[in-house]
Amino acid sequence: MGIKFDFRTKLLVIVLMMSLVAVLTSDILIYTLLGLLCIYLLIQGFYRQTVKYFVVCCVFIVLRLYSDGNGVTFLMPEMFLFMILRILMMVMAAQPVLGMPPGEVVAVFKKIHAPNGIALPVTFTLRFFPTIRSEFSDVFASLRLRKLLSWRHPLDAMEYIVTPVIFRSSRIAEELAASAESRGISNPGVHSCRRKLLFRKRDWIMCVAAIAVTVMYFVLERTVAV
Amino acid sequence: MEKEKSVSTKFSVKDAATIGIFCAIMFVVFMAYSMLTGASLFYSMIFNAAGAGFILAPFYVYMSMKVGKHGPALVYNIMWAVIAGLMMGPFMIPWFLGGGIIAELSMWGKDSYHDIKRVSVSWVITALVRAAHGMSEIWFFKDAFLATGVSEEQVQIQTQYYTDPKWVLLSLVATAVLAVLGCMISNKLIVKHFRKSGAIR
Repeated sequence: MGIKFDFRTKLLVIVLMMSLVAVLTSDILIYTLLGLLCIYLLIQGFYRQTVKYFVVCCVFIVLRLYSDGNGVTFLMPEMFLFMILRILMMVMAAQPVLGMPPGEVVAVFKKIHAPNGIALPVTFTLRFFPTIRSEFSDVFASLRLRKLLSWRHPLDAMEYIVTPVIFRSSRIAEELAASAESRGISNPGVHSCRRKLLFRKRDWIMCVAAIAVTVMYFVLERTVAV
Repeated sequence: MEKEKSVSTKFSVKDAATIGIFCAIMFVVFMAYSMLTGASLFYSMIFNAAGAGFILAPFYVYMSMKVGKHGPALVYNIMWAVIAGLMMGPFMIPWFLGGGIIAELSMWGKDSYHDIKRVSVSWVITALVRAAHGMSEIWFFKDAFLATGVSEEQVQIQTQYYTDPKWVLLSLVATAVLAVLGCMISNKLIVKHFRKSGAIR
């Protein structure tokens, strides 16, 4: 459950977040923005992901506060902590796009007349992202069972990991392509979509709120910097 | 025959699926690798791209040879340009985009995507673009980079390493060498497993 926004709204939030990530320097503004992003994900129904992001954010914020700008030993320098928080902001803003159903992604690309050379690989990338972890974990589990994972022979271990992952991924690529073909993805005619792509009132409200928050953060950043 | 030829040079849905899926794998592997090695500043600055050039080479070589048509190098770099734009700032987009165009141009000619030497050249270019992106932040985009709110420590370290020809050379040479080594090992894997099984012609 949760409010579903139009792709363009989600894209606007990502672009605005990108501009904020590029200028924000104040810690307190970064931390509050992470809080706002948690609310943004919660209202769209990403409860489990929000909890995970929230815990990770809290851990890194505490580490930054604890380190007082000096990093936590040589294992976690200040730069590492800073970069993780910045990447987290972008990942949280992109989460609703990453979780979009493939059919909707195709419909969006058709609607914005994106070239197929870019639109199709991006669609398959987004479709495959959630399953990558299980692909690798299956391979690792199988290798552990056969006791084939060893640091003593790194090149052999690399071969044992890479080869099945490539075979499995290649097979998935063929299956996904066949599935997409059978549903007429390469049909040159006009495509219809079960999901209606409408820019509703809620999208307008979200866009206005996102722009207002961005302007406010820009102003606050300038005030803090002065 | 003519029609068959024109169809085979066109980007198919299967090619798009292969590129999309392998780009996703390479992104996830790179992120996992960067998180594991990111704790060491020195490694991140000098050898991150070199290690990535080695680890990701099998996926890139397979993707290129499986598709076997023009496009994978450019599309892969465009995806990286978007990711870099989102993660590091929009000023990074032209850097990776330019690298992608050069990598794709290096594949000019017929059947180049089935030639391991040509694929290696495009992979070395891609790896060097990645290795030099941190340097470009200091050399060409310093104002934009400083405006992103990076810590003083990071700017100091990047400036220290990336303005010293010794470290710059070490980073770029290590990247090129490991990328080539990665492609050589990938070629052995291709011959040993994928060509034998018929996955790649």
